[in-house]
Formats: sequence, structure tokens, C-alpha cells
Amino acid sequence: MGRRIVGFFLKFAFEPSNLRTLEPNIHMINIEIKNKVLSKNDEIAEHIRTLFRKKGITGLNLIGSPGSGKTALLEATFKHLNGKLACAVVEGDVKTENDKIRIEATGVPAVQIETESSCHLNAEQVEKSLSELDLDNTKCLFIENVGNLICTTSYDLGEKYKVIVISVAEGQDKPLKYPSAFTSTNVLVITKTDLAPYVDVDIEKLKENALSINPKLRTFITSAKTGDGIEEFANFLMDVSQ
Amino acid sequence: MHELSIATNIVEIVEENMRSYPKAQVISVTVQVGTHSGIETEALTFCFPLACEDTPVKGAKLKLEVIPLKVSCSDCPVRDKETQNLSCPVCQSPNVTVTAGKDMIVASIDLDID
Ligand SMILES: Nc1nc2c(ncn2[C@@H]2O[C@H](COP(=O)(O)OP(=O)(O)O)[C@@H](O)[C@H]2O)c(=O)[nH]1
Ligand SMILES: [Mg+2]
Ligand SMILES: [Zn+2]
Repeated sequence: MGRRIVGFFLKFAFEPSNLRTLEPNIHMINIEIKNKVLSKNDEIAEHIRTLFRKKGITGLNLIGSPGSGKTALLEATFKHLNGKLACAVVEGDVKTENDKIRIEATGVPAVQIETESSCHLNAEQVEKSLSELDLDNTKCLFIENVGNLICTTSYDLGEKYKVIVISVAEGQDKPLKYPSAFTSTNVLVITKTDLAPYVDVDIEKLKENALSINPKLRTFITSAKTGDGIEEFANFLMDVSQ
Repeated sequence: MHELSIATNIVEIVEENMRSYPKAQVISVTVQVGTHSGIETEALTFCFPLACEDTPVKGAKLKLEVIPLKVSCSDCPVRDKETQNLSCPVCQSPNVTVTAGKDMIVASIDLDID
């Protein structure tokens, strides 16, 4: 909660009749607030972060455009892990339970949040959904955010890693167009590399553009279709889930 | 596009902070918006009057201050300096911490308590 300092402004009334007396008319005040607009969300996100720490869970928040391949990346990764890492997924979509069903088909528990009209998940929705998962037997928890590269960057969900998922089909200048998404993330996964020859994209240039915004990004170059790079991503998850 | 829910959050924060002045009229609300906060200032300006409807904040003017991305560097004396990306604008080191530009903050309000 912001500290309050009440300062008084002197406002003089300059109507001709008042000019002679120039009586100060004290009725305008300025209240300093300094309150983060998303402080309520941030508070809940901090609860989630504490809960994850207590239970030894690594939380990852996946953001990316609709269709960038977030669910396919998870499916391929879970198939590769083949039960070696206890994962769970919170799925966020505007509508349908399709992604939850796709994840469960790989043997990993999932819970679906349907946001109806909202373009992002917030911490309150995630906190509620967590009660449906067996957190005591989870090491690595993914939150697949609603497909959107702008709005999702504003909301902390209590994750340790924010992962940005971008497909080669989206073009190599995406990082330069959406820098705020890249300054909020720690991990970049480039997907659908099998499509690179068809979409005239320079993957190295895409990576370079992303690193020019955020040089500390851990980068993975993957194809869920061919399985390229999935092992590296899975190994990273094993490393951070100890 | 979630600027309407952001605008609603702003109105709620203003209401909480004017409880001691139930009869006051809010002249203006000053909000600092980081260039990397994920918020579009135009959309926010558009949504603000809608969020104010049927609240004591109705009629208030939204003043936006755009806050650029700023970092402090771990590898040189740079502190709180404007930058375009997550590296030091002087020594180019990637070991920086963001000090401004990612948040959205309700800074202050002007009330008419006449
Ligand atoms: N060729 C190819 N297609 C992919 C790949 N990953 C995902 N897709 C396709 O891209 C579409 C969107 O994928 P999805 O995982 O649903 O994206 P999400 O909206 O980010 O979860 C689907 O039709 C996938 O089959 C890939 O690595 N290669
Ligand atoms: Mg999906
Ligand atoms: Zn430096």
C-alpha cells in the first residue's frame, strides 16, 4: 500500500471581485499514492511462488502467439521425458478444453482455465486451478498462457521461468516488434524449425534479434514434428527441477 | 487488450485512497506507464472514462507519464540509466537489473475537496 503524503496547493481565485483581497482558497489537494496497478495480482503471484518453493516445484510460464506451438512443444517434451520428470500443466485458453485433453493423452495431469474474454491468465485464476493438481507429486509445473505476446507480459503468475515460444513462421523481426515480451522472459524456444525452408526465415537472425534485446535468454531451437532440439529442452527442465 | 481491466484496477486504487474525502471530486489521476509494461497508452486513455462511469472518479482526467526502461549495471558504475534493451548502455554488460520501465504505477491524484 502506498504511503500517503497530503500536500496542499494554494489556489487563488482570480475573479475581479477577489483580486483586491487575494484570499487563498485552499481546496485542491494532491495525494501521493505510488501503488502498482497490478499489486493485487503480484501479491497472489508471490503466494504461488512461496508455495512452489515449499513444495520443491519449478514453475514455468509459457507465452507466445496463438498457434506458435506451445502445446505441441509440451507434448513432444513429455513424450521424450517418458515419465522421468513429474510434470503437470495449467492450460489457459479463451475457450475449449482441447489442450488439456492433448496434454493428458501424454500421461501428464492437466487442468484447464477458460478465460472467456480475457487475453491473459492472472495469478488468481492460476492459484484457484492449482487445487485440482497433486502438487506433492509434481516437480515441474507448466502454465500455458493464453496466446498473446503483449498482455501476458504484464502478469506475474508466480513462475520461476518465463518462457517465450515463437515459431519460425512468425518471422525473424518479432523480437524487435515485441521487445517488452523479450525483456520479461528468461528462456526462448524457437519452434517449427522443420518449416524454416518454406517460410524464408533466418533462424540465426531470429535468435540474434532476441539476444540483442535480452542477452541472457537461454535459447532452444526445436521442432515438435521431427523432435529436433527437444532433448536439449528436456535436459534443461531436468536440470532446473532438482 | 486488457486495458479496460487495467483501467478498472486504477479506479479501484483511486477509490481506496480517497476514502477520507468522500465528497471530493477527482480532478486528475497520474499514472506512470513503463514502456515495457505491456500496456498500450492509447487504449488505456480510451478505456479510462468507461471504467470511471458510476464511480466517484467519474470526470477525472487521466495523466500518463511514460517511463523508459532503466537499468543498473553489476559490472560498471552505471545506475538507473535509460537503455533500449537488457544490457548496460555504457559497458554493454548483460549483468543488469531493471530499475524502471516494466511497471504501471498510480502515482498521485488531485482532489477538489471544496
Ligand atoms: N510442422 C510443424 N507444425 C507444428 C509444430 N509444432 C506445432 N505445429 C502445428 O502448429 C499448430 C499450432 O500448434 P499448437 O501446439 O496448438 O500451438 P499453441 O496454440 O501455441 O498451443 C498445430 O496445427 C500444430 O500441429 C512443429 O514443430 N512443426
Ligand atoms: Mg495451446
Ligand atoms: Zn555497465
